[in-house]
Amino acid sequence: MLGVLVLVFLLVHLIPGDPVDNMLGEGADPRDKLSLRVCLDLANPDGSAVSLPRQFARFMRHVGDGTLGTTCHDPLHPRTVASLVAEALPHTVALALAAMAVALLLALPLGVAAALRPRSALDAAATTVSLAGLSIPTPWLGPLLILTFYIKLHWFPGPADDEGGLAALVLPAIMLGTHLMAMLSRMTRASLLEVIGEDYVRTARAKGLSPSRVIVKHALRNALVPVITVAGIQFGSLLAGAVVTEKVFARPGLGLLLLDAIGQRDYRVVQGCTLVIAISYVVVNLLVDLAYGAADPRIRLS
Amino acid sequence: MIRALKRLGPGPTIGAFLIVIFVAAALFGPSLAPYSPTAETGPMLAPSSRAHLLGTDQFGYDLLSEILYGARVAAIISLTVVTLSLLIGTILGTIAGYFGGLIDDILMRIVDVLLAFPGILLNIAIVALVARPGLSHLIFALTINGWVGYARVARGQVLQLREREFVQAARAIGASPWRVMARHVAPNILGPLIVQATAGAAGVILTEATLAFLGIGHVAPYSWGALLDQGTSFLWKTHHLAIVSGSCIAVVVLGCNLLGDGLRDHLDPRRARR
Repeated sequence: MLGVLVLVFLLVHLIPGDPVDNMLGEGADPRDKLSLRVCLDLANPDGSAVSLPRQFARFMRHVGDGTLGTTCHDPLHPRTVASLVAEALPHTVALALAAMAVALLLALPLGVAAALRPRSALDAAATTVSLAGLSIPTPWLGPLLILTFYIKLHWFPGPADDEGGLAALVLPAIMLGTHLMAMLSRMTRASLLEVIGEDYVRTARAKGLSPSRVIVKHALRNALVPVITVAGIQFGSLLAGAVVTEKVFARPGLGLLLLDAIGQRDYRVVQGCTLVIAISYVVVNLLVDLAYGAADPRIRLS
Repeated sequence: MIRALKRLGPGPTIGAFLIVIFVAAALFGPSLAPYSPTAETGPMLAPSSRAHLLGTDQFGYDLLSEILYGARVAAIISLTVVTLSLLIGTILGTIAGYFGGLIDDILMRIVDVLLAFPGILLNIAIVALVARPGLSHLIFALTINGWVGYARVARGQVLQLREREFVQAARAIGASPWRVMARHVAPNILGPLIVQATAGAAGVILTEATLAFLGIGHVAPYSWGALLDQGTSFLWKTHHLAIVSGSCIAVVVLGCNLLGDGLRDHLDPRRARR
């Protein structure tokens, strides 16, 4: 967690050269440069530089008081970055949850079906679907979905539809969830195939349990542990991946906020969005680790 | 070569074939392109015709020429980023695994922090720092977390190799740690790293396209991601722009994935039987 904080703080200094010169270009107005330097805590109002440890202290103070600093691009109406993030975050979380639902609902049946009949036509079809899902560029999938299901078929609302409600979430969720779906269906297949070969599954079969009971009660329960873990870990990547989806569908979320901030050269907001997404990513990973330990007693956190 | 492909099976062969086409387009494309990728040679957003096989874009530039030049951009970026990442990752991972102790702890903490960070977000945040990012900025942004995967794989492999007889023998006859690492350890861990690099190339092309699509990290107006962005904006009027540029990215990524899967199964026969 501390590492992530330090990394987000150091981002400004990672690119060689003066950060403000890089952001505004060499020929920018010196007054603009100074005000941006002051806003980013790189300099004092009198123009003198702020030392790195002091910059870090100020950065931590913004994190600590929950404001994440104030915006830079509009000095007359400064807002706290936290208030902007709080407005955008629910949209992004809703999108990520919907994408997760799409991924799990498609991946589990696909993976199980493929594992139960390995090397059949069904398996080949499932493998093809997951390979296609892994290879299709997300920025391309969105436009294709819009073209097919909105422009041609009119099945679902298109971009920037505020009144579409849940239906407006369908295409963005498919766009964001497809990659994860492909990953999870591959994992489900591999994991279930491995578990089916285990002794305890053979024992369950030998006891005379029905095949469906063996699969559901004994095999699937164990096979799904790694799948759910990966799904949990990937939730953070969905939050990050939402940037592209929100741009394609013009949905107000963290991603769009981030892109707007980049356009306005408001690095404070970029930093804030990055920090919030990265921290949620770390927290989700931690929760998954803990849940994993609780679910499977063979794993003891050392 | 043909025999090797036969052993790999149909999927990886198709993958290798797609990659060969991509590399050929990157090498010879610019000399084969009918027009300059930045010259108005036809009407705007025209569909396919004899003069413009793939049609034109919003400025009246020939799309086929743009795609061919774009292939070179994609190839240069992916090749540079993967090579740099592979080098840095292998060297650091080997050092961490071989020496262990404090060096290992420090390097692995850095790896943990970079892994705890969603990759694309780090790339975006870095490219966003520069007003007009060039090729070097983009390569820097993609390499900064690109090496991490290779370092982990290399370290894991070295940990297994470290105690093997031939490594201990080399150490026993007095070879320096650097010589043991370079001559005896590194050549034996290359297999899994190359598999990782094949998949890594797909990831780099995808990330580059995504950044260009987002309008940050635009290195050339004809990079495939930038063309896809243009195509998405004009989806209402015409589809050819989005479909052509997107399918180019998809085909190259598919090629890398197919070849990577095949190589992995080949190196780890246990997986292939599943």
